[in-house]
Amino acid sequence: MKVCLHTQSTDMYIFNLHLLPAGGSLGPEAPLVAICGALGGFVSRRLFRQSSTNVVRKHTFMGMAGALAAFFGVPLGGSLFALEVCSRFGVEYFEHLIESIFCGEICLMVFRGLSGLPIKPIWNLTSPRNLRIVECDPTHVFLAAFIGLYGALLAYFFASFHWKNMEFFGRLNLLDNSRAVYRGWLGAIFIVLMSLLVPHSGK
Amino acid sequence: MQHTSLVLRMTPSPNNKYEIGKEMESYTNENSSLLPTDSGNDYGNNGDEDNDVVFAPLEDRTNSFSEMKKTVHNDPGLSQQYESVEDFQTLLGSTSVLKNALDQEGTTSWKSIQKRSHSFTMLLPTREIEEPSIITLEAKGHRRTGSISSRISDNGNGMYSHREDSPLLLRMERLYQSRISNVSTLYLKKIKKSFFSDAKSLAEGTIPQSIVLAIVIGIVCGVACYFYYSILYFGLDLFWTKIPEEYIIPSEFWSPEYYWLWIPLVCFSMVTLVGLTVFYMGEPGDLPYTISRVHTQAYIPMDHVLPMVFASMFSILGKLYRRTQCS
Repeated sequence: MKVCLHTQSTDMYIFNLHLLPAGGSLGPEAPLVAICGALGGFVSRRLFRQSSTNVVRKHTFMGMAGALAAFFGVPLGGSLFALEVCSRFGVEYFEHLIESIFCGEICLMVFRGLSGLPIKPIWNLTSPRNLRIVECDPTHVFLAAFIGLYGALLAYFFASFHWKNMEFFGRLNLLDNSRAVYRGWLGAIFIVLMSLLVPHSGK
Repeated sequence: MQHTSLVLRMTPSPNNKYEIGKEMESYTNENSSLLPTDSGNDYGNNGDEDNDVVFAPLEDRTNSFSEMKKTVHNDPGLSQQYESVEDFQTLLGSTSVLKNALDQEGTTSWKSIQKRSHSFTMLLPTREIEEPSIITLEAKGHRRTGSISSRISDNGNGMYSHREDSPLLLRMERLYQSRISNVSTLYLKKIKKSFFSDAKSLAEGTIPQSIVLAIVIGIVCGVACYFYYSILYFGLDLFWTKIPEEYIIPSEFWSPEYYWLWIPLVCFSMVTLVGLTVFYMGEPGDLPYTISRVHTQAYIPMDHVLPMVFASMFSILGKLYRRTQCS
């Protein structure tokens, strides 16, 4: 399992570096956040005729939290992520936490019920040889912190490479939406090469 | 559940003139708790020496709150012109009661004001309401200019103060003139007192309303996620499993050494569809765009939903999808 996770994550990392400039998406979560956030604001403003900025923003957060909770399978983590992804100056908007979690639970039940999926996390890291951790050593906290820093470092490289790619596409004057097709084709060259060389780099 | 209330009251002064005063019943919400209280001006305190709380002018308080929100949220939307009083009300919070009486058609009779705006009865004590011939409110020229011209006239004996004598009304007029471009009829909002009254009316920003909205939004988003998920995984299974296994591999025209051509064929087709979606349907917007809309407008425009649906579908379908078994 370790080998599989390691090789696949590395390949996906390189793969998605080129996927994003081509207009691709890492997964359905980010688009669904935007879609459900828009739906939440629409329900608030159009159906319930809300006009207060803070109230409409709360309902927009409800929609975003619902999308993440539905796909992550965890209403608490999904709602927290929806709120923290919008926090630019420290902790913001966490006064909407309770409502967001509640809406996430509703959305999770509806989505999983309709699609016939069980309510469980996306990744199951247990196996007959690696059972669920029922207790841990305090030193594992430091290990987790180190892994978190390692992930942050990878994210930093990912973001830096992404912006370098954006500069590259900008120099080619491909960031204009009137040339979106050419932009996609250029990005697809890298994606196809990566897919041919490492076929399991996809999802 | 506590609310802020700003009640305009016509109170007879010792010199038998009616003055505009204000009564601060409670200031416990987010807006009011940050208000400056060191103003040296007495704005219509009616000479009540027992009232030690002196609030700054309404305009100053509003500006102060706006600056505070800009600092916290860096919200450029707060500096915009507001289209209506309802929009402007967001500056002061949903529980703030600020609205004055204005009529869009010009002069409005006292009876019509009293009938249309029940909460206007909060404005004046019962004794004054029973004298419709004494006090009239006249609104003029406010449809486009946004000015407030509430003139208080008397029945000929000159015993009532003109609006220019009221600093509070003057400041409110300047405030509306500077911030609102389309003033509608103003009224005083009736403040709910209990959970059940909130549940009955689904008042804005209350807990019962949040519960109902959470259920409705959760159901709507759950159904939307279900359709998105179903279409997405149907396409992934179709392009990367069903067609290759059922049509390409058994085909006599597709040699095994050219199976790899299916990958660039699907990738370039989907990428082309992504580009055409952006070109014809517009910018779908990404996560930073979504976050910026939440900060500035508090909602995400719906015209980005369809481009986002199609662009994300095509881009994900263009990725090589393969069910990996890690065990």
